Amino acid sequence: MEKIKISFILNDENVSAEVDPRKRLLDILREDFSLTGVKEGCSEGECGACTVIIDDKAVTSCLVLAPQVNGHRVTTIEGLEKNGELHPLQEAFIKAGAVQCGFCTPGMILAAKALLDKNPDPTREEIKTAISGNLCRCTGYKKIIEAIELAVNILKGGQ
Amino acid sequence: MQEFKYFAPYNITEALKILDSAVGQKKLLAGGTDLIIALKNKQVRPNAVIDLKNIEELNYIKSDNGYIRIGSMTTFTDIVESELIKSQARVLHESCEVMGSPQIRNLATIGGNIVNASPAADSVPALLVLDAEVKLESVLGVRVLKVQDILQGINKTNLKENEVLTEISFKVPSENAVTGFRKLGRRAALSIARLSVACVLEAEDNTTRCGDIRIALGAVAKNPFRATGAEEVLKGKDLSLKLIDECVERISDIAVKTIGNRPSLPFKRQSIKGISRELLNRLYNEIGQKRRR
Repeated sequence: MEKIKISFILNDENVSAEVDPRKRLLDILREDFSLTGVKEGCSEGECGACTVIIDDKAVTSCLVLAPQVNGHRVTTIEGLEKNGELHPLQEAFIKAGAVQCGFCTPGMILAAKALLDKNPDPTREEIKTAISGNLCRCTGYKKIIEAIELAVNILKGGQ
Repeated sequence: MQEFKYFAPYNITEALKILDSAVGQKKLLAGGTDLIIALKNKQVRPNAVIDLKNIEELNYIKSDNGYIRIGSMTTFTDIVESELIKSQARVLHESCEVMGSPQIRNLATIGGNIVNASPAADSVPALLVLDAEVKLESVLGVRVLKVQDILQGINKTNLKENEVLTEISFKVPSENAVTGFRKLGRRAALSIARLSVACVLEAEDNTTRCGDIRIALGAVAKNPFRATGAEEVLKGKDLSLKLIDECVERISDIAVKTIGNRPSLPFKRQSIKGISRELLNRLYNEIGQKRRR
């Protein structure tokens, strides 16, 4: 199989790789870059567990072929922590008890981050829409929505 | 997935050349939200995949002398966020807004939605009532066809093997027109339409008499289609809630006839009345508001 050489920015670092074009972004992130925070759920874009951010937009990485990220910027959950400090969204998910089994959490947080980067003061409805492509099968969405609201407050400088 | 050669051209000329010269079965990659699943499940086994997402000249929304032109690689997110579409072609805004999830809208393109030719394609009923045309380009030249004329059944179009859908265009509805889209799905996000209805309704100058009207239904037949029989109920008449009820009954009759004897029939027979009535009543009110202004 002819491999394709790609370069892209992954969690703020320039990286390159030779990839089999049949692999999806999800596959190379987990297998070639050991970023296992990206979860494989349904593999058809329905569950949102494999959500990453490409150029400021949340996308399901199971629906992107690896060579398609050539020249783009990709952020996974591993890229949110800075200098040992968790991102306010991560802090908020812990504080609000929004994590149960944790499988949906990386995708939820990244979908929320894409929202907050664009709209730092969303309404509850806007939050619900932003995570509408992410399924949680443990209990529900109440604490997740509360966590995102908490993160909004932290980011605005309050507590 | 089977082995394939991957191409990522940066302009349309290059893409058309690759499409013309690549050997074996070829697949165009747009948003990938259907193709990548089909590749993974080995429902398609192409020898070449040509990625059109890097072609910037296929990514635009612009107003042009009373027409709106949309590049085929424009994503649903870009359409939903376009003020031009929201103010001039609300029916398209509304149909794109309820397609998939944010993640899917960030990837999926309007060109892909048309060419994939799903019975439930969300943008297609809207494009039918806008009487939209598509531009098909190949190394041999350009063809312009109405959207309905390229749809040939489930996942089938009459695009030639070396053609690419490059642009969607339609005339901006008149000042006297109101437009909208309603869909019924199993859940708010991500649901594939179980039924959808789109409408452009134009009132004759400063009256409530119905002038031009177009109604289209989705997820009823193999492809979305115009319910011309239901349009006739309203056309040329003075609009009233009673007349709209008649139109709603006609829409349901048309849907029933088209669906045939399927398990979903009793459900669709009733539910299509609900969404059609909601949409038409809303448009009727909007016409009233326009007059009072």
